[in-house]
Amino acid sequence: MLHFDSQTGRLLHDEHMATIELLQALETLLDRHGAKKAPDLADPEIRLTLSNTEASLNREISRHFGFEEEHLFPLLANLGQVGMTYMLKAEHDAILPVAVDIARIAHDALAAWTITPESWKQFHELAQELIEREACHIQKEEMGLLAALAALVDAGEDARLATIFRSL
Amino acid sequence: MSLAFSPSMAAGSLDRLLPAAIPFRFFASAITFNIAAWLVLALSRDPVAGHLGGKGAVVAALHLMTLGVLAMAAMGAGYQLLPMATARPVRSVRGSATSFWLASPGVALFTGGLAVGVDAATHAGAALVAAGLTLFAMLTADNLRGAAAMPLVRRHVQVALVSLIATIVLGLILLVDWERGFLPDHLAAAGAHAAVAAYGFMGMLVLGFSTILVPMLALAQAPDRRLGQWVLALAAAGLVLTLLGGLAGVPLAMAGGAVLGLAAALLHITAMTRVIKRRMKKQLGPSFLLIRAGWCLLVASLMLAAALSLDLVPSPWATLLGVLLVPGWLLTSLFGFLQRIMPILAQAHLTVPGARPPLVSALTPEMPLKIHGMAHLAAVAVLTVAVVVGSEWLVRVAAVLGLVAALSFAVFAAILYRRALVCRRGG
Repeated sequence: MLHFDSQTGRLLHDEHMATIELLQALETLLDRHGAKKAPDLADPEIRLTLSNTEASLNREISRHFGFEEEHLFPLLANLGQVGMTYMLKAEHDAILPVAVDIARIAHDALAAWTITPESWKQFHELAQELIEREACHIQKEEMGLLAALAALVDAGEDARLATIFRSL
Repeated sequence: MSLAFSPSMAAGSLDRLLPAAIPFRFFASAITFNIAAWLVLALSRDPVAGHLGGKGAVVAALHLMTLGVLAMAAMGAGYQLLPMATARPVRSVRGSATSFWLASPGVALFTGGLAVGVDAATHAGAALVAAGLTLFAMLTADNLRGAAAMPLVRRHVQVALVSLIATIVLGLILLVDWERGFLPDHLAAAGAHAAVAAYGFMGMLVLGFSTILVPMLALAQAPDRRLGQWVLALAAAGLVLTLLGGLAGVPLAMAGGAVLGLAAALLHITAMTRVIKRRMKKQLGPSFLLIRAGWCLLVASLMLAAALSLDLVPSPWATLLGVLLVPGWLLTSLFGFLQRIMPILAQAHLTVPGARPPLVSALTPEMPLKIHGMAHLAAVAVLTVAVVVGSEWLVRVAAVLGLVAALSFAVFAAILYRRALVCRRGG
């Protein structure tokens, strides 16, 4: 759900869309290669998906979550949105360890140019969990967080938050 | 400044997320009334084809669907979803609970009275339902007051609330008219009551909340705001024309209202189709089959409404309009959305600091939903054919199919509830 009234909301929304695009590529990879058959790590398309996944999970998700937890949630909690911010923080806590594990497996596989059946099975399971958790989390943020930003945060504060987010 | 966990801060500070018991109590009630509606239709000996109102089991089944299923689900969803849109909590949690304890027993009493012909029960039930719905309207209007976010959704809800009040007033007038007989044309007034209730109250809620829920569930951008404003304006104008035409007995005005409604519906479907085309989520699942089927039934209902107003089809086909409208568009759309909202809402309530939130897929039993979807669509299709060919035998077949669908949805809800309880206990 777009809330163009808020600059910060728009920035967060754009990142949500980028994350969904990444998750779609990951889902396509999982669909093509079942949990039992590890893919060929020499395939350039597979390498690209894994390296994009690793880069995004290492950098973008932690940056996005960090901004929300450090700057946005405290502000919204002070404006009375305590329940929502705690719920979203709990979801971050559930997503991050999964993202870290996936990024680690992807990194190791890319470096070794191969992946063991056991590692691929683990990657497959974790990636499915990540896709579902992230999609559900984004749904909630699009519906709840961005609406709260547009409704409760004034233009000056919104501009300040947007500047911080762009600088990260 | 970081968000340090503080249990005392979180406790009792659910802000926009109501206690789970509030929305789920309404949903449980709607699911129960859905079973009752199809059961009453299956067991009824009254003819359905060509039915044009009055008292009895068929009207009881209709009101179990409208008041029991649609209104109860709308109240539960409205209390939970609207604060998300307005970023303001419901003013009184106790008030929202009270509206349930007025409306839910009220529906049982009202429809029970209609079915068995006990006027005292019908009147008492109607009074309770009217009180519950009025309380809902007051709390919702209060939530909208001063809210700045999502103006399009708010305006849809405002029109829905005005329609709700008109529905309640007309319903109570019709009830008194059954005994006193003061209305010049009871049937026309009943038609206006049905149109304002279905297209006005429920319809505007469905159109308004669709602009949030469809993008959210499909992970897509919001619909075109200008298109949404046209939908709202055309639908509201159509409603006014239909209401005035119905009360004044001017068929051309009612036909004009249906045509405006049709234009609004087609624009709404265009906007939603564009949203879905640009979605990020590839697999939409069976819920969107129901939502799309609902759109087709909405268009069919409005075309038939226009034809009925102009006497282009025989008047007994008004029953067909009821089928296309209530179990058709409204129930089909409602269950399409409800099957996705309930697990997401359950997961949100299970997401607390320090605990790993369950996956929505782990809470959602898919098989009962598949059975529900197939059986419900089959029930609507068979009921449509039954009314067209005037077969009471086929009506009962449709009712049994509807009952299978209703029971399947109840099984889905029961499994979801059990899984949520296991999660809450840390299983």
